[in-house]
Amino acid sequence: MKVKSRFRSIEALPPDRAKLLSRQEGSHLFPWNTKFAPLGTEFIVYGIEFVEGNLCYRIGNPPQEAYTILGLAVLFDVTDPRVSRHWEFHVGSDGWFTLGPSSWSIEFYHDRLSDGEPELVDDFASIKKRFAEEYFSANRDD
Amino acid sequence: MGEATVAGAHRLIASGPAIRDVGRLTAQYGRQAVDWVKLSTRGVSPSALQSYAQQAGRGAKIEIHYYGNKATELVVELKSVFSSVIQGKF
Repeated sequence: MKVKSRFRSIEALPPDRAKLLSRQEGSHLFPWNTKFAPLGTEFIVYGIEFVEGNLCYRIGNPPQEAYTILGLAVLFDVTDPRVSRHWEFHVGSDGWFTLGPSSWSIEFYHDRLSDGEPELVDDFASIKKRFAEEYFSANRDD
Repeated sequence: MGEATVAGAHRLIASGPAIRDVGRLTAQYGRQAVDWVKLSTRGVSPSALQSYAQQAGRGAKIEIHYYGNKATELVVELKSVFSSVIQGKF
């Protein structure tokens, strides 16, 4: 699955997209924007999560993609709807669930990856390689 | 560590129970686990922090990682992170 950033922030959303947002009482979604990359940037979606009822894409932090960040789905357009064969469904002990690579079942994976834990850095490098190969292979077969 | 104001393009790394230190954050600063997020940014204020980190890294690209509380907008525990360290190139 690939997506392309289309809107800068939730304030820029047209009504038909804004109505898809789940706004919970007392929550302030201050990080919900796509200012981390030029509009139109395409990302491989490495996983899917829900945060406060909002669908989010796990994408690589641009430009180096050393770790992952969450992008609010309504700010993006889907450019490749095919799902990865590397995705598995995980339910954490806290009840949160994720669709993503098997290694993401490790506790606090993304937090620890952003701290540069060597084994997770290596694992995410491997994930990026596998996803890139998958898309290369799929496009070649089309 | 002190509290601070952070400007720039926030990037959401983890939210609520997905943060390793969320128990300590709630105990130390209050609110509930779901209120806390771990963020990073490349545009940070005060500028002195950015400048110091750049000098320390001799030009290496840095990011600032920190925790934020969505309910209060409290930002705590900023730390500079060298991009090359995250990528395992140091």
